[in-house]
Amino acid sequence: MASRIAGRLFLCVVVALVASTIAFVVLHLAPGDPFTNIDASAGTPPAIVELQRAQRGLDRPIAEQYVRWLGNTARGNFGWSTSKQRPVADVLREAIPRTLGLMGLSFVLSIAFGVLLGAWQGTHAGTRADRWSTFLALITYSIPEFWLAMLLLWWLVPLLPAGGITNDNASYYGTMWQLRDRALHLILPLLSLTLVGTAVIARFQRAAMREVFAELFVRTARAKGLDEPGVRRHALRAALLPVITISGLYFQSVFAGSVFVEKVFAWPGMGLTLLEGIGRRDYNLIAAYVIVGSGMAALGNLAADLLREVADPRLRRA
Amino acid sequence: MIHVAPRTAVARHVGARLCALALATLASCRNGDVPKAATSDVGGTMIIVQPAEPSTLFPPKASQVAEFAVIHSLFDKLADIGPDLSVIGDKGYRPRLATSWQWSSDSLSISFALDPKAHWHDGQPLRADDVKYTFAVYTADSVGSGYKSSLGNIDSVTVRDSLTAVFWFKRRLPHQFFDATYHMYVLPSHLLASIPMSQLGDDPFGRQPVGTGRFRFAKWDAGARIEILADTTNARGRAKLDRVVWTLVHDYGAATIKLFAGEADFYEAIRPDNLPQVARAPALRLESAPALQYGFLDFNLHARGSKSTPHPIFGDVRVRRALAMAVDRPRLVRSVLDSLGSVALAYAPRALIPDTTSLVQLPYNVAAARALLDSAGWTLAPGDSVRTHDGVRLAFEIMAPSSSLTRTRYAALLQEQLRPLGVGISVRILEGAAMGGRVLSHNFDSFLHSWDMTPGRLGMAETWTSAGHDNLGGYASAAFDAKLDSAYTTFDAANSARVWSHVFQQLIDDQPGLLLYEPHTPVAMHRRIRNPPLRANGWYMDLADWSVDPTQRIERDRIGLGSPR
Repeated sequence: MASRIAGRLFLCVVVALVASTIAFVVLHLAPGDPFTNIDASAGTPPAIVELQRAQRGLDRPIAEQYVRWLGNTARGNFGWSTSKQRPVADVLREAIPRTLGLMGLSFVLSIAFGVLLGAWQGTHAGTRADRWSTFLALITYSIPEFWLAMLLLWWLVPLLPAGGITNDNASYYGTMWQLRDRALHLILPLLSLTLVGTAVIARFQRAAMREVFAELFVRTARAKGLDEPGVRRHALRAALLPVITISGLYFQSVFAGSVFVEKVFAWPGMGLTLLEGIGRRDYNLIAAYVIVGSGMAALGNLAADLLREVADPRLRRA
Repeated sequence: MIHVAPRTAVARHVGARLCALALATLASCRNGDVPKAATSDVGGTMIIVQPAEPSTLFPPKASQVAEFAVIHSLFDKLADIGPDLSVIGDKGYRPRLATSWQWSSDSLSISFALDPKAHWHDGQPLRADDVKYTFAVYTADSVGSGYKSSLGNIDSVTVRDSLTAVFWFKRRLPHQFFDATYHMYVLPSHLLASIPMSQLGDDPFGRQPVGTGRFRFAKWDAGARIEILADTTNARGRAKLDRVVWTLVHDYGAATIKLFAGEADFYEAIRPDNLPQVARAPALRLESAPALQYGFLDFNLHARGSKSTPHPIFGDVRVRRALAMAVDRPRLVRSVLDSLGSVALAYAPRALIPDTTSLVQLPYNVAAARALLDSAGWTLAPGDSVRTHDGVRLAFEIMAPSSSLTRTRYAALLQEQLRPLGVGISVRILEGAAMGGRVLSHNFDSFLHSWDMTPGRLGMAETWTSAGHDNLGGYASAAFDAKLDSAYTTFDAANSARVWSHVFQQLIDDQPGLLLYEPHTPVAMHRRIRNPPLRANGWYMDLADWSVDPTQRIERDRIGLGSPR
């Protein structure tokens, strides 16, 4: 088991490295660089621009830049962010916890609510309540996160803060006030991500429950006199397998969705940092984001596989 | 309670109201114990919505408005240019770190007497060595400051005594004083001198600056906000506001919601579509903010990829003039900018044109434009929609940056307006760096450009003379170069205005770019904010004199002058 996990972790590293290498090469092949935005560098003499380019090593051949970047990355130092004027590692150190906090909470809540809702729908399939809830879930599922975020912002801002992690004056208030303030600021971005996530998971959970209810072991359980809550418990466990698989894939989707949600709610996490980095052609920052993002996606898949084996021991033996 | 402006449209959403009960308890927790209110016009908090985060607060490396807005409050120059933006001599300049100055008899040096009471925010006194060091930093190759070329006429800075710095000039020019005072914010040598010049731009000082301004730096929450506080011991008096916070909101929609919800007090990037909404908001007002900006279609006068072969279309001045005559520029301004713009009169904003009445504009006359193209050999074959000349089609590409809504709209409208003339235009919207890459490698036909000018029109040497490094279209005219040189060396104000008219007229006649618009950029701000008139060289110029109406204070104004935890 341990060697298998180690093997998968090694694969995660390979995936992250390959993805970031592709990102690095593609970015460098695109026309322009961090210093060619004439709106931003107007008035700066070409000699100075060349000097700035040389200071950042952008005047070197792409292969040399790649080797240097690879060396920095191996040492855990992702180089210098040209858009933030500070080490990329410092930028990530601040941004990653903010994104993981939002994403992780949303992911857990999406799974919890999605499984509960889907299971309930599956056991009440065909009823009016099921049809309505399925319809609403479908609508939510169809709405892009950023659009839902804008709608929520528009509807709820009189009651909730418009954006950011805290109030702009929060640091002048007491600890309890700050905690409540953080909670208030968390609601809208969390709601944007969780509503969509819940709808996604619920759809799969409902379908899985319906399939499982048609299985012979459910009929057998009922025939043996097991009460209905007991039957549902057994059915739910069996119906969790496809949902766990989907959760692994959904993890990446939350990560991508958080980019736009962070933008709308001015949540200074990785997504917002990435958008800024793209806008200012910050090679090192974008490549670092790709490493972290693809690594997290691969880890999400690994976690899903392990959870599937926990839920169904037969998979472990396979 | 934190002030929240009412928004009637939202109140209509009954569904949202259901959440109110659940959230009301939590929301009520937004109350907090705060210190007592300040009195008079001193005190208060202003929150500014900022669409982009500054990269650095180290003045020599700053280049964006977002950076200067903060830097200008934290650092000082020796003197500040007057409201009329005159750059001839020292007329109208206001003392800042220098309390007085004296010209030498040959006008080749100016000695600045520093304010003996001025000190850095860390308590150290300001010294003439700081001024000398500042000049060394701004002009060092290893620092890579974009302002080095603007300081080319300053030979050196010396220290006469601890409170007197002397600027020595290479050549006597009308704008010597401007050169010495406009570009450089004085830096603390006692904090920076031990750092190698090549590392100054990357030093943490750029994120925790120490200046002499009437505000001092408080904190920078990366990606979230920058906060400055009034410096209560400043030699020129404390800033009236207790605190200014730049809160970073990248999304335009989210930024406006923050403004309308009362969470922010000031937003400078309001779009025409939202003006009626701002006008209706009881807590907000609009204020006109002059800008030193103009927009135009920059023609590449050389063939793509070449610096010498004339462009097959724009190499001919008659074509450029015909295109200018065929564009209804007032209509374009109305369509794109509504009331937030004017037609550009010359290759500078009105505020920098000494005499606009003497300029002879090309008329809007489509028939004359057609005739001019015909006479230049660009004819329309029967059944064809695009003119040709010697097998070359009168078709070209307009590039516009995706970040500018104004310029992308202009590109589409120019395409439409020039089509009836027999001009084929393809529009290409590109991300800023990609467009810049093509422009800098001369691989373009034309692009929509916008220049932010500095007072004194000194940048025109770089943008339009044959040796100018920002002359992206490759315009070259010996007559223009000579006239501009005369304009820069004319001391008498009346004569200077006349010479400048010749300079601008030469450009209008040659049409190196199709003049389009001058944006007016009204800012939206909370009604309780009081401010001196906004200045064309930056709305933030007099931020230390902004205040909050004592009768309209809201919760955040009563926080008082503490330090953030």
